[in-house]
Amino acid sequence: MKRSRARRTMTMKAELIPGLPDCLALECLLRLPFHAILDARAVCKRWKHELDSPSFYRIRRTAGLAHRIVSLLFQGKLPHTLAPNRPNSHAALAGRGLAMARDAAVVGRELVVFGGWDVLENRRSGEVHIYDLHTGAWRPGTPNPAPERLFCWFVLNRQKVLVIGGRDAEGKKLQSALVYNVAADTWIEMLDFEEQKCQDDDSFCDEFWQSKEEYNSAILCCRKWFLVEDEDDVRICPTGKEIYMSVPEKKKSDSEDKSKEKVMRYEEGPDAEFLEKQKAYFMEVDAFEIPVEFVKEKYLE
Amino acid sequence: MIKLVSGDGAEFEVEEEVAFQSKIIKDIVADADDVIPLPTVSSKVLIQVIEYCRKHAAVNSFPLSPSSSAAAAASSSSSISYSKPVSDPALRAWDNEFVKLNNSSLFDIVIAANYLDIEELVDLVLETVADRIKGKQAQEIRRQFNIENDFTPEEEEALRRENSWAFQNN
Repeated sequence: MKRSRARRTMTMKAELIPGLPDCLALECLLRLPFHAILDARAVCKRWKHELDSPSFYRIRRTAGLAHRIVSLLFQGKLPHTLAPNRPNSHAALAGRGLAMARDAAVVGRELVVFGGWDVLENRRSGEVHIYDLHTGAWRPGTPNPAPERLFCWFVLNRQKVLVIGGRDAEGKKLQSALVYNVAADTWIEMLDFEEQKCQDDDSFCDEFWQSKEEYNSAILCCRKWFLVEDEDDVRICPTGKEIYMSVPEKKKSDSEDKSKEKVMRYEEGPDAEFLEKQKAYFMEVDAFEIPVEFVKEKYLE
Repeated sequence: MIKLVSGDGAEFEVEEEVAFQSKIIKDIVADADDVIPLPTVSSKVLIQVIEYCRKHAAVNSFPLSPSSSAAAAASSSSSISYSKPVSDPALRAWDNEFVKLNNSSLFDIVIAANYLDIEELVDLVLETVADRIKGKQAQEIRRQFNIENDFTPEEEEALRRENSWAFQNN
């Protein structure tokens, strides 16, 4: 018969939904919108088991049942209109004590929030907080070793965050990038990647990188990045195969239109190239099995 | 005409286009006779399923009105949704009325529809059940579906903590 994607893996005897065969009950759970899953996990052990299993999200995705969710990263107080238990409210995230969170990236099923402001030292802090979009749990990450250069990022192979460029304390442009491996919770610095690119393929061996391709794509991104001037104002937004870069246009005088943004599109692939594109406000990232739209740093009263 | 026989022996004569809403019946009829025993389906459920099939067969066999056919074209091109939404608003309204049943009646229908392979009906009921789960707290879901809470108080407390995820400043 149909509906063969149901699994009967559990040893527990209880039915998922009494009166309904498990294969059909699972189909019901698969149709839940993402925001309903947090509550559903608390129903009973079997539900939690199903809803926590990666295959559940894989099936959701392949069946086209995955929903897009929007995560908003807020700073400061949140309005009551977005109460957490309100049905249909989108996942709204408030970083705990993350005043002045600098940036955030969706990596796999997690949201990595960088930065913050060290009030005592009166400087940017390198805090890293990782939020599991699925369970809603926060965990701390290894702090960014060089927080002052943190102003742009993107995700490599859905598991590493590349933090590019910046200027040192004297305002001198740096030719290096930092990469944060979320799963391993480690930072490495990519020094002088122009030179490393010339390395012989055979000499490549680094446990940090999964493959030569991943490493090369990181280098490619870095190089593209440094083609852009005034990178302090640039925002990079990966969207699957594309990376949107939003570059504010140079302010010529106060009277001229300052708000205009130039967005460059970078497509992955052998003929990677920046193309100018229309304004993009948000990025869209494939987060674990659920595509996630992530709207950056939104202020709300 | 095709004759369907329920588990409790009741016979129902239905038109081919009604019965053929079920892919299984369509397959059986292709290489067998026109009396089809359905031993696992009670007559109460079969009546409801036939009612659904009759309605959908009638709507599907008539040409769509210009507005609804445009809507159908738009919905078919926009996404590869798993459960294709019923495009005719009148039929959708009828469906919404049809599923206003208690959970156990719905379960009986979806089991029969799954057995008979009536995909639209299966989707309709599963969507309805999912709608009844969403937007509810765990305790409400358990009550509605008669599910036993097998968490220890400590585990429940831990889950509650996990779920109080947003909007907390420190």
